[in-house]
Amino acid sequence: MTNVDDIINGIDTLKAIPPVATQIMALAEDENSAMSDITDLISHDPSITASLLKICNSAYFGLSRKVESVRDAITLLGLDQIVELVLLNGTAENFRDEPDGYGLGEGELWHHAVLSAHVAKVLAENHGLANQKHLIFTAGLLKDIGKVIMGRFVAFSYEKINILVHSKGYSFNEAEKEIIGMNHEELGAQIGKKWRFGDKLIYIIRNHHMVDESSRNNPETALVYLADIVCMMMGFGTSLDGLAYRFYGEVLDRMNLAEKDLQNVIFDTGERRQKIEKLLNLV
Amino acid sequence: MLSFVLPESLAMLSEKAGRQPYMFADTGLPALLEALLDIGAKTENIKVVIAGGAQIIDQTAEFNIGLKNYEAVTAFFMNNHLSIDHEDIGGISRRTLCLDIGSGCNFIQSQGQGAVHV
Repeated sequence: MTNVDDIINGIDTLKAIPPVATQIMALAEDENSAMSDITDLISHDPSITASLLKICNSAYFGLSRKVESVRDAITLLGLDQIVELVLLNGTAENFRDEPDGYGLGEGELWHHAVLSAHVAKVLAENHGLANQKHLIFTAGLLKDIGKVIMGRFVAFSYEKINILVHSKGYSFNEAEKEIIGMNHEELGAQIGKKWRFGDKLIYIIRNHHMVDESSRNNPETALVYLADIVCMMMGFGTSLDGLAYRFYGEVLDRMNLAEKDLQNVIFDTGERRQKIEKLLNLV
Repeated sequence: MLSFVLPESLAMLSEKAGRQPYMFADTGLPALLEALLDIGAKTENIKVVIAGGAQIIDQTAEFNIGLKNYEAVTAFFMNNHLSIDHEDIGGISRRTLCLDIGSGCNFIQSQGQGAVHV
C-alpha cells in the first residue's frame, strides 16, 4: 500500500485556485451579499478582470457592444454567468493536462468536470435547490480534483486495481482505497481542506460517489452524484475507470426522479453539450 | 454511423424528440437506414456493427439506459430483417468506434484494450 502522506504531499504540486474565485463562491452563497460586492471583488483583481473581459467580448457570446468593465459584463450576461466564468477560469489550469493513470487524454478530465458542473447546476435549478446552484456547480466542477494527483498512484497500481474491478466486483474507488489506501474523492476533500474550501463543498467532494450511506440523504450531494452518473452514462470523460462506480437507485427515488426524468436530463445534456464545449475553448 | 443515447423518443416531449431525432434509437436508426437506402445501399450488403450499452455497477433495471438502448437496437434490426454482424455490448467500459469511409474498415476500441477490427 502506498504511504498516504506521499499522496497528500502531492497537493503542493497543484496550482492553487486564485483567492478571488473562492471569495466569489462565498459571496454568491451569501443571501445578504450585494451584486456590488462581487463586482468590486472581481474589479480589484486585474488578472481575473482581463480574462473575464476577453471571454465576454469573444464571438461565443455575440454581444452587440463591447464589454468595457466588470459591471458591464454583469449587466449584459448576468451575475450567474459571470460567477461561473470566474470559477471556470480559476480552476481550469489543474484539469487541462493529461493526468497519469486514468487513461484520460489531454483536456478530458476538464471536459468531464465542466459538463458535470453544468448538469449539476441545471438539476439544482429544476429540483428546488436554485439557491445552492453556485455551490452545486462548483462541487460538480471540482469533485474529481483528487484524480489530478491520484492518477500517478493509480498508474503505478493499475494492474492490481484492474483485477479487483474486473474480477472481484469492486468499484474503481473501492479498488483505489484497497490498493492505494485512499480514493480520489478522499484526496479531493484533503485538497479542499488545504485550499480552505467551505465545509459543504468539501463534504460533497468527499461523498460524490456516495460510499457513506448517510450522504445519500444529502440533496446537494445527490445532485452532484446524479450529474456525474449522467456524464458517465454519456461517456463524457470516462476512461480506464469507465462506469465502474456504484449506482444507488434509492438516491433517485428520494429525489422523486423516475426513468423519464433521467432520460430528460440525458437528452438536455446531449443538446447542451456543443455549447458547453465551445465555452471550454474560451476559458 | 449513428451514435444515439436514448432508446425511445416517445418518452420525451414531442417537441424535443422532433428537434434531435438522432439522439434516439427509435427515430435515429430508421433515419440512418433510410438515408443509406436513398443513396443506393442494398440491404443484403449492409453489415451491421453495434457497440456500447455499458452500465454502471448495480444499475437497476428501471434506470438501465444502456441495456434499454441495446434492446431497442436489436429489436430494430430484427424488425427490419437485418442481422447483427458484430456486437461489443455491456460491461463497464466506454467504446470508441471508427469507420474508414474509404476502405469500409471498422474498428472498436474498449477503454484500456486494443482495437478490434470488425
